[in-house]
Amino acid sequence: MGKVGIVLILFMSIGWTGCLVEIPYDTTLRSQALVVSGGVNDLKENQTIYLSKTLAYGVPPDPQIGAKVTVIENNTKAYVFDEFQPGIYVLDKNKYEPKTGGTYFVRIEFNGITYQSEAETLMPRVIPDSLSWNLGLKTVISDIGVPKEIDVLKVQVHSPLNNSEKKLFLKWDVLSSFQFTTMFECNQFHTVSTCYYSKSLNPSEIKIFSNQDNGLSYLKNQEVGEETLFPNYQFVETHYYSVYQHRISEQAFEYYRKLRLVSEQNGTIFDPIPASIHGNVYNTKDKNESVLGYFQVSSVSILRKKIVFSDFQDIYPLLNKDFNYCGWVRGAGPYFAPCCNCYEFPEKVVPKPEWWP
Amino acid sequence: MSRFLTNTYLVLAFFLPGGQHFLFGQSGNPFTITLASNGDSLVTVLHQIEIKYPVKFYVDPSSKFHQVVSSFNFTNTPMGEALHQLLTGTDLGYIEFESYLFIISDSIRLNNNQFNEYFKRKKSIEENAIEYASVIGRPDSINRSGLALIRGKVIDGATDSVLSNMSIKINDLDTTLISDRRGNFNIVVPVGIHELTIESDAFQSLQQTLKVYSDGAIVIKLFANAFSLPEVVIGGSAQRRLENAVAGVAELTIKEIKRLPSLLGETDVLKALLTLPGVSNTGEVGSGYNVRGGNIDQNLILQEGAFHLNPTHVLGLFSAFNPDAIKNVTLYKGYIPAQYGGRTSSVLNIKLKDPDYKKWSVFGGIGPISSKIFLEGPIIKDRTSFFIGSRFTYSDWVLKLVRDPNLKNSSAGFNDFNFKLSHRLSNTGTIQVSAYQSNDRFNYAKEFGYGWNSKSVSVLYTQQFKNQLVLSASLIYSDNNSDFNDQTALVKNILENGLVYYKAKLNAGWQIFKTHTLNAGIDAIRYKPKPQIFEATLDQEITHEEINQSQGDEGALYINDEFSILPKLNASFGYRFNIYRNIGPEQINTYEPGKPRIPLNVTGMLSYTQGQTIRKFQGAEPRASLAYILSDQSSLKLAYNRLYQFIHLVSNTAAATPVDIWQLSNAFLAPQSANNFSLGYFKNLNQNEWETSFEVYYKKLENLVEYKDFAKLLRNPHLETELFPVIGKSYGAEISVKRLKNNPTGYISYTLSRSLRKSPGLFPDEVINNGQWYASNFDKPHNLNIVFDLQVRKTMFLSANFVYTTGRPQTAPIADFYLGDGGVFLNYSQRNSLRIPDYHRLDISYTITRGAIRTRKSKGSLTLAIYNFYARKNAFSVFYRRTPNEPLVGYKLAVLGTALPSITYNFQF
Repeated sequence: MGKVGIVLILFMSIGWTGCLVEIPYDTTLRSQALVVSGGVNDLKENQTIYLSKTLAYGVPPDPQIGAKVTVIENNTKAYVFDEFQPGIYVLDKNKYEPKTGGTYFVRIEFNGITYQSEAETLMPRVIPDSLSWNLGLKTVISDIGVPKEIDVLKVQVHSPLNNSEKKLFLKWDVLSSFQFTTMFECNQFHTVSTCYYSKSLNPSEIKIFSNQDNGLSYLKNQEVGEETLFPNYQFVETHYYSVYQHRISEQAFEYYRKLRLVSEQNGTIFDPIPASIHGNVYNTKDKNESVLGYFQVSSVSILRKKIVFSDFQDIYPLLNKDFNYCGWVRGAGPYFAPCCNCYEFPEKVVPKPEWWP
Repeated sequence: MSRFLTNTYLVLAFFLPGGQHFLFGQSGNPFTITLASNGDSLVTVLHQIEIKYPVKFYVDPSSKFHQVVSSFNFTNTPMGEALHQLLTGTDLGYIEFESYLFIISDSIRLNNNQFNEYFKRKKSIEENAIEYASVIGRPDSINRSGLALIRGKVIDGATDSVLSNMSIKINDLDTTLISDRRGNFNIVVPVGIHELTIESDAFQSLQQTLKVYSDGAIVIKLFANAFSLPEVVIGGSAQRRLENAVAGVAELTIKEIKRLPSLLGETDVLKALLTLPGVSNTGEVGSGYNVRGGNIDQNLILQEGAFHLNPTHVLGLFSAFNPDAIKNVTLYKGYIPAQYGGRTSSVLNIKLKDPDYKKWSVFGGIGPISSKIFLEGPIIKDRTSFFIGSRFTYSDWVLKLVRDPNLKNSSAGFNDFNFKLSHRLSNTGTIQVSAYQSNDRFNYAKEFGYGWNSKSVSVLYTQQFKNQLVLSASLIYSDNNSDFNDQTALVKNILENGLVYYKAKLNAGWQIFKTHTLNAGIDAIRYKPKPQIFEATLDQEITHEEINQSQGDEGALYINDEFSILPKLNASFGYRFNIYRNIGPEQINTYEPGKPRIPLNVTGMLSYTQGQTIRKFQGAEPRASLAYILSDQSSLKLAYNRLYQFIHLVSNTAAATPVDIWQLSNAFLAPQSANNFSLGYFKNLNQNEWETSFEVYYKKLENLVEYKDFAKLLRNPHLETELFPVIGKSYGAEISVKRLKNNPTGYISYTLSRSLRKSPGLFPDEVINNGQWYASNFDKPHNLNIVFDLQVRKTMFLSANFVYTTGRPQTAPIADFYLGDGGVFLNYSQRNSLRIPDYHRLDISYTITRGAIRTRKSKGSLTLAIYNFYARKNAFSVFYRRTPNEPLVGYKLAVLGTALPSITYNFQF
């Protein structure tokens, strides 16, 4: 052996250093595009369509008023929506008779321009069997830009998938509702009132599923929503999760799939390059005009799951009602701040829902 | 008289054997002289002593050596004593080196400490310089003239046959001579140390240090450059690069690569490549590199004739090429000789070194994240030899140090393996077998992961004939696989993908009249993509799916000639004719004519049997490069290439990944083509100390593969529904200034460039940015590279590398929009209309070479390096995320977000 060489590499690095750095967003960027959202479904409820225009990042979209919004059923029957609030157009449930198998599209006449959507068919419902929930962890970005794990409650659905249909497309919306009774310390008469709150669970996190790639015949443990457990005032009394299982069209599924892709960018090399996503609404005279949003036609099945304080026993240390919730919510300091009215919490106060027992 | 007066002691300074001591005006000289004189000058006396005795005097020309010395009569007088008497009464003194060399000068100067230090320093330099020198003559028989005659012979080291017409250059004398028909050459040189260089197209270049004491002979053995005999071998001297007909070519030797500061001490071929003008990285990490605005799939990366699909490990942090096995790296980015084809942007040719036929060597390395071992040596001395090398990593512990919990729960690892066996079948024939294997695995936070492995085997037979004709034949097999798994979804799934290819090449190289270098041959490739396999698992239920991919054959005939049209006009002309077939078995959809290729417009399906031609393409690739020698120090070069590419990397992610699909041209996807033009002015200054160049280029591209927004590229049996062709153009200017000699050395290069795309817009889905020109993913207008190498002391080097590039294009949010009364989403800009932050980084290393670190049993060198010296948080990617009830936040993901210091200690024993 002629020559022997050994290379020894020593490493003094202060550690591997992948990191996320917050960067300033260029707020000078602008765009003005019409946004159409909402749609019709097979529930005997008011149907809603929203119209707005984008302005810039951080600036709420500009609601569009004065539009004539019409939904055409089977190319024959027209349902005209009323402007309920700026940018919100509603069709009264008493004027609406949804027909499974019927086709629907929207026509919007606005500032002399006509926008229209592709027609979609209202398909039969896919009815889920049950709901369940469990606890888990979720990684989020902290205020200082560092990932951290938090406790969450995950809502899961179990649903048969019709074997005869090779392509089923589902989307879920979850409504989180709870009651809270004001505390007796609030007045000398020790009277209390029961408040009801409701909110859409993670509306920016799109939950969809398709069986076209996997041929599944039954959907088990499909996660459709999650909620942070702290602060847990919403669980100290009765809590309901209402899951709306929409059966949507393939085109709608594609639209939401893309929307989900751009919503879940995390900077890895596996991220698809984002793009402006166009839905199914277009300018009838200028198809190059960028129109955002989607006019959705869906059939809907609803399931509800009730959760009470005792359900957490032995699995999660929920803080009971004596906890200083309202002090915490108000940021009022260490002293005890009893919850005295329905508007202490950030959730939207609603009338007692019809379905609430 | 002049025979010793004409020399200064500067010559002597290079001539000090180790172990000598210095004497001032005193002598320890053992021998005696007998001499008498009456009234002769000192010079005459010294001359007489030189004639009569084996001694040599060097006299300071400025000293008073013509004065007459007193009468003397020495009889067996010791030399030192005699000199002492001779110089008594003068202002002169002497210094003795060994027993036969004397410097005579003014005593004041001789007693000056500076003088002493000067010789000590020179002695030390000589010690280092001559460590591997060839010795000619004997130290005790130095010619009194101060000159020596070297009688040399150049022979083929493998066959011992003489080599005529070889150009031998004595670098320090700037003298070149040619070996005669018997391989002989003679040259008279001053005694001392000289650098000799021989460059040849057919043989490996040789640089040799000569330590010349007196007249003598030397036999120089050259070894055939087995893999590239009459091919163009670029590099070598600056003069050669200046005059070579091939425009837009750059070569890095492994020595140069190793001098650059490296990430965690790991020498990296690809990162070194990024210091060249016109070459830029795809981002902080990412597989591949961009040449003159081209996509990464437009670069042909060859190692021993096999092309690599993924040249990196660990998502681009390290290159896949083992530096211990590499001889040199050549990048063709302007004129691409006709021997190469199949890519439209550049060719990177990585040559592995030949295993050592004479002696065994073992190199090893132990590092914090990886280790390596390399073994080479003869199986049969001078006939059969091999090397085997491997690198492997155990980097998981590093990931555990990371604060990010996702990375903490991740794992990453790679290994690679190189093998080469070389056997001389006869005096003129060689057969070589090379093998390469690479494995990569990356798992992110138990959420998703990918794996990549590649293996290739090549067999090369080379036969050399007496009339400068060399035939070479090679067979190559390569198998590449990737998998991607997603564990986050309800349905756990894994997707596997792969490509196998077989390649055969026959090349005839002929050196005609020493003026033409002709290459002609045939090239054939069979591509056999593996089916995409998808498996989804939900509880016990497993879904299995296979999607077959297009197969293809690629063949080419080529001829390339490099020659001098006129004394000052060198040229290289090439012609390559390609034939490509997309073949079965395959089932393809037919679509309604005049309508977009979407599932809605499918009209039927056509089935093709095994080997049946589905579609055929053919095309000619004329190529030309001219170099006009304006003067000894400047030239003008013009080049044109037409190139076709039949395999395309299909990706719509932020950066290329190892699991991206390589899609062959097929019934729907035409081959992409490029017309490349370049013009360059090259000027060397100050006898090739400085090398400068200015090049401009323009590329026109057709049938580039573009994807629709949110294209579904994986598990899609009908990719034609997601892809469409666009046209492209790239143009730019590159300026480079290099200092090749003296201290410090280094270079600065700057590139101004654009890389644009345009969709013809047949259908709305295929119109991007309203049909206007838009930036390609790799459009980076400004690119600056600075490499600096300073020899601080004789054994200490400071190196630095700075790189700056414009941030690459991105598509970014420009507004919020609401769906219903709930979710807030982002509307994005036009494609690639904005940019991520600029990229810049400084790396520094300080090396103390083995000359300075020496123990009785070992020698070593120490390198301190800091990668990303000022801890720039360069963006790998930029993305925007909104948490509930919080505003949008932009983040840039910096993979190497701080300075990374490392210490590398090399030692030999």
